[in-house]
Amino acid sequence: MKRNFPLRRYFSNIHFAIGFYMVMTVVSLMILGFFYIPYDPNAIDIAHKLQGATTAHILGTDQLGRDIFSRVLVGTRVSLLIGILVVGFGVLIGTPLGALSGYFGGKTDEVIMKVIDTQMAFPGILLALMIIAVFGTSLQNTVLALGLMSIPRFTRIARSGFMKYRNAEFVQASRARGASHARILVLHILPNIVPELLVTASLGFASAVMSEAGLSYLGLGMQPPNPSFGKMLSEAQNYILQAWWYVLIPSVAISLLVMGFNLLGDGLQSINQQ
Amino acid sequence: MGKERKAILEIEHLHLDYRIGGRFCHAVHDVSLTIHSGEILALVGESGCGKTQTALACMGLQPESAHIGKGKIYFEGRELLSQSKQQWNTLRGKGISMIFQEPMTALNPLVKVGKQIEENGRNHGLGKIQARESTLSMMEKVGLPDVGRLYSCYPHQLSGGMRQRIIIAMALINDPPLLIADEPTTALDVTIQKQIMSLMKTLNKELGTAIMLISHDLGVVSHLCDYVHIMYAGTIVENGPVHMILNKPLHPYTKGLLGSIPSYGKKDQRLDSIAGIVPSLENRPQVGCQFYNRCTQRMASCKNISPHATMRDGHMVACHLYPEEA
Repeated sequence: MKRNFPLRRYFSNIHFAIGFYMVMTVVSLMILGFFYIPYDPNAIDIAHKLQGATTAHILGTDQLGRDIFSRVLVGTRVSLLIGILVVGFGVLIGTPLGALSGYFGGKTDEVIMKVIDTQMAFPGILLALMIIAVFGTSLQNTVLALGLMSIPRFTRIARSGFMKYRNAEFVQASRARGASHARILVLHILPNIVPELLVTASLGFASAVMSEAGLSYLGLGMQPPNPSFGKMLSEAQNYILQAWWYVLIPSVAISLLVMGFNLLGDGLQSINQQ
Repeated sequence: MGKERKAILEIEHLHLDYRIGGRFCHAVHDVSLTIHSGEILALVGESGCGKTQTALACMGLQPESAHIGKGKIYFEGRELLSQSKQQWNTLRGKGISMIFQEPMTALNPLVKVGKQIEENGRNHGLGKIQARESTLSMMEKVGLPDVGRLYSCYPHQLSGGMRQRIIIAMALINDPPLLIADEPTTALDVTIQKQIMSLMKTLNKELGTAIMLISHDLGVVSHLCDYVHIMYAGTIVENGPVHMILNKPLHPYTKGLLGSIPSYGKKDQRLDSIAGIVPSLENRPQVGCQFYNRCTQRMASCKNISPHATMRDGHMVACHLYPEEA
């Protein structure tokens, strides 16, 4: 490992490298979207509907003549935003729960894990559907639903990490020096399980993107006319014989993100194990 | 023990049990010992004899499944076992410090060693600048070179001996009256062992810190300690000043331990070993001598009558070979 390029260790892992570039492709599309969008993504132009790639519309147009490229640029924002919020939600709630559970064990552990296990037993998408059915469709509710779904995985990972270290000798040693529980939890154990949490976050991101696309596909995520990959896909399926590219484009975007984050997570995991 | 010195730590009739299969099994049975200021006391015995459990009980760090039935521990005259968690936290690291066996794992791998030493000072009320200063001077006291650079090293960049020095520095930064060292040299190679042992001796002289040294090696202990307590299966079988124990061991177990130390005098001889192993918690006899089934000099009375401690030749021994009336 050379000192002048600390990331070499990461990029020498093929999974991490591929995943990184896949994610970066989508992220750079999103960044491009902040500065330049060729057309209003919601502008309807029936005269030019379902066109193939032209110089005017480089990815063609949809059934209402909207520019697909512009809609993809805006759609990436939604996917990434939801991914970040959902993972953030899971980390902020799941990790402390897991930490308490793993560190203190006993009754605390039992109560927390019973709740988490019950939640895990719930089919995720069903839980999301229920929340959205009750609270209505909106970005916040999508994040809430998917966020609740992502809590258990963080709790479990954090729990196993804190369990592993709660009797580690350096923890015992800092206890012998009179360190409080809070100090041990946050300063001594947490930094040691950041790698595991990162892997989980990366995988959680992929599944959040996927679930969001699924919800939008079912019409329960982003509401029209706002673009979202899942929504585009569900609209495109009616025209699959006339305009194959219209189906292909959102599918590729979703695949890039989901596969990218999965590979990233796999890569991180094998790097950690080295 | 007649010298006019202040007792730092007094353990009186400590019993520590584990509940196994609905029955209380004693890991520590009726242990009493006293450490005076500035002295080094060794607790010697094989693995599983309850040495570490005794030490952990003094720190209030015994496992949650352990149960302290009877007994009292006094530190500088204050009873420890009845104090609150808060009081424990202020005592640990300030009144009593502990160093652990394995220097590889006793340091947090992700925190700079200097910071870890400093943290202990800060936990007990030192200011930021003050803590840093005493960290650096403590690092020098334990014989580390180039302390400015080592301050910002991570544990994996240091050798085992250096790490153990860091751990000692960490334990002593608050100048505690008592240091408990749980097999501090077991994980180190022999030359480093010697260095660490003489370091501890020096610090004991310079700072006046009393040390409770836990070891399974009488050889190591002989150079360092003032008093030795030999522990077997949770009880103290023999104790006294170190030269007495070494020159005139009475208990068969002590003799066995001494017999198993290699030395020049025993060149070309086979080393003795004590047959068998320490009985596990569940299999310890309720009455009779714990050492009965491994003892070479056992008698009929050993099986059924627990031996009592008697004074003999200036030290204490618990064995039927030395009856009380003598």
